[in-house]
Amino acid sequence: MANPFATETELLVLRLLRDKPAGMYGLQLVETSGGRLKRGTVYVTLGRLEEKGFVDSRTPQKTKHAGLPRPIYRLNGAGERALAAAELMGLNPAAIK
Amino acid sequence: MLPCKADEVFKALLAALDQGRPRGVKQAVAGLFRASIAGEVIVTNEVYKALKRRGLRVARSKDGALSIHLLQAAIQNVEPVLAAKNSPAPIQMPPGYRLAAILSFLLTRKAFKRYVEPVIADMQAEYIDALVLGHKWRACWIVLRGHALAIPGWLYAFFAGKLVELLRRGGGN
Repeated sequence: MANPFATETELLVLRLLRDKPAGMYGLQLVETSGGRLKRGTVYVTLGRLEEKGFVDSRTPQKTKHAGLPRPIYRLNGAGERALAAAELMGLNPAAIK
Repeated sequence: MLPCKADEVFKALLAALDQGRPRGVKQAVAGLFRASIAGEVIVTNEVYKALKRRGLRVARSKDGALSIHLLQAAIQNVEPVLAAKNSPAPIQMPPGYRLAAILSFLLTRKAFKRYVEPVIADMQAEYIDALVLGHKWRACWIVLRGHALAIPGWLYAFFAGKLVELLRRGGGN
């Protein structure tokens, strides 16, 4: 059955974000995924999820270090509902667990 | 006039500036004081340019004469010049700022913010962490990897964005 909500990688990101309600950096997602998410594509996935309205990002105004601020990604209500529906329908269990 | 002695003192001053020796600079400036008291010190164009290249601006009269007042002003300039030269951490831009400038010009603001800026921000954060820990080679590797990792993001932002735009336009017509 085709997944109506998201790809496997997107579901994995949603699942990881649900475990951290405070939000996560992109690199934190890569590290906690255990190699299933790649550095080069994690922001493409997050960008797609943002476009779909499942994830919100917040960029702090001030940074601890010099350079550009790093955005923090957080699961929103629509993302939670989409993930719950996907889990309920048993979609992509390999990616979710 | 003491052109020969002043030339030697200027040479000593330039050498002290190059080597970042505050004591040598002070001795050379004191020598210029003595030379200017004994006679007129001429600042040639070569000396003037050489000092200017090292960040030390020495004002002079039209005929090139250096006065006591101008020497005092020169001494005031010596301290910040040496402080900048001897600073253990010279001020420099974080890595990736050129890439960010180029891609922010090529991509839309939304695409840049969403796909490229986080990659560059991660690279900068990791680079600074590596430098703080004293891992210079790791910092270099992070910069190389960061530039390579930014490629998928901007390719996606550029081509996928264009494709979506074309499809939307096609659907609208």
